[in-house]
Amino acid sequence: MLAFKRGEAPAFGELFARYKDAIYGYVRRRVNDPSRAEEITQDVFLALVQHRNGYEVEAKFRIYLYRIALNRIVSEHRKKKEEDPLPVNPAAGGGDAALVQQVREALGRLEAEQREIVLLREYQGLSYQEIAEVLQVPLGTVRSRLFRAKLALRDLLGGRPVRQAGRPVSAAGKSEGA
Amino acid sequence: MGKHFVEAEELQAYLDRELAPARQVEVERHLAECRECAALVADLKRVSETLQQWQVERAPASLRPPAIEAGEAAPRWRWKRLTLALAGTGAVALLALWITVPDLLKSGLQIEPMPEPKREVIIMPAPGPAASEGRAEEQEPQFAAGGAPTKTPPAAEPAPPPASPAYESRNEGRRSRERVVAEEALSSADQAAPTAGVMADKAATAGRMIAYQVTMTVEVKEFEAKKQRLLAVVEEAGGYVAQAESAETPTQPQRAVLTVRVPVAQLNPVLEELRKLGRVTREQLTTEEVTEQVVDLEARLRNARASEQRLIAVLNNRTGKVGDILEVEREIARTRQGIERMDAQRENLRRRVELATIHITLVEEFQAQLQPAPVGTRTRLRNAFVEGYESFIGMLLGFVFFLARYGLTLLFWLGLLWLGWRAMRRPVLRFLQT
Ligand SMILES: [Zn+2]
Repeated sequence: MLAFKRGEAPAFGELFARYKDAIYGYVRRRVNDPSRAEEITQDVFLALVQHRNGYEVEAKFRIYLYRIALNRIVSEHRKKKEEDPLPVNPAAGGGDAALVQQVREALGRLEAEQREIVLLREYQGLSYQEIAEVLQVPLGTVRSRLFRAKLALRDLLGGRPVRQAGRPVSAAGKSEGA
Repeated sequence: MGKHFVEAEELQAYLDRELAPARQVEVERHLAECRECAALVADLKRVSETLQQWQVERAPASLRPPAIEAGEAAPRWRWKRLTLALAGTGAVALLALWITVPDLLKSGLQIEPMPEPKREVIIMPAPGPAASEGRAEEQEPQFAAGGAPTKTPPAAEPAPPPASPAYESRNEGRRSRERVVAEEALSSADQAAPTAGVMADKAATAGRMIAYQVTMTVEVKEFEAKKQRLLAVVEEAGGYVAQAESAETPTQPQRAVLTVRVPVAQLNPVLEELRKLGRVTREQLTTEEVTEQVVDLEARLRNARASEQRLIAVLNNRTGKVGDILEVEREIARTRQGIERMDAQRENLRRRVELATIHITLVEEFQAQLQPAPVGTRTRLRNAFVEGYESFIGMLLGFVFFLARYGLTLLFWLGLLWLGWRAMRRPVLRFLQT
């Protein structure tokens, strides 16, 4: 990381190799066109090179990387005036096509704030703290939004809602008896 | 519902291993016992698994890391923008100049010859009975009467405003440095009585005690003679020199920094004399209200004296044990120490009210004005610096005047330009990009 900051190409090559799939995947889930996703990913890493003084340690680097990626995705959607930030066409990739479609639709129905968190947590594997920093929201907000999003997804994905006596759990809010 | 001591939210955090380790263990233990929570955890887990069904392809091989050099290219790009912005601003500035210069030239004539510096005098007379003006000249500050307790309790009158400079004056002159002159305050009151004296008297009548302090700098020609004169003036007025320092280096003008104390009634005559020593480049009077401190001190002194009396009475009765008596004696010693210290403080305050403090700096007048004939390189260099400094200040002032006069107009044009730039930026950038 420090070597990269000093401007050494090999260090950057290493970081690129480590993160390119993750960032591409992050962008790809949001942008339907694979070649556009590639361009945006390229863009993200370019911005990273340009702003290499903005982060000191790798932990910060990840946050930085995702912040840039998120910004690019948001502006891409704004440019295309897309209402639904999740591509609807089935993308290439493994898994049961029908189920994949169901997942994407379910994600598409989440509130945007919840969806961002789910994507960063479930597919990018960021910690709550990292998500909080990428999205600039309090840590506690990340935790509660993620929980509510998961509950909503459970219902959206048609999983049998478990509502046993004494434990009312709803996606709408936190109705927790202490 | 009290049986779930685990918050539902915590179950997701538990799955994500985001709980504190101890809590992680506790939740795990709860899950072993609580079927409802365990079921919810299973649900949440299944949602995650389902989500994982959606996988996307890996980054295509055509995705290459951007060359570091490509990164370096960006600043050049930014330079382009900056150049463009600068060019635009320059154009507007030129336009504004073109429009305003005729005006400026006209007004420049008005700016150039600075009239006799106008002084702004703010007089803030001490609130209190105004009836006593000039009368109670010889009245002593209240507590000076042999340590008698103050007659007016502080609560009986409204709290005085915080001590502040009684007046200050500013001088907007081009050449002059800070010049704050006490006489202005009085010349308007057309009175021969000393300013500070009058104010002190007023204060005393109102039961207020004020310490006066003057800071002044005087440039003199015959340094040694004027210094002697200063000492004589102070002595004549019944004052004394509290502190004196002088610095003398061959290439520097001579300089003496003195702190003198003069009776407050003599403050104004003394200042008059000191001003005659040479050119006053700075004079500032500050006042400090010490009434509260004095009143407080008096009260504490009374208390201390009373407890001393009580302790002595205890000692005289001699009923206690030897140890107790020793303790009482120690207590008396402590109390006496306190009384002495407070007495000293009170004396100090009294002196500060009775004697005004003057911090005066005598500076030998600058050699630029002194020796016209054999001028050394050094002196010339120094003089050049002085001139440079003055012209720099002049330029700054000119700039300030310019801004004051034309700032709004400029702002208007700049705003217009900015709007234009905003509207044009995208097309221009796109053009540059191709
Ligand atoms: Zn439970």
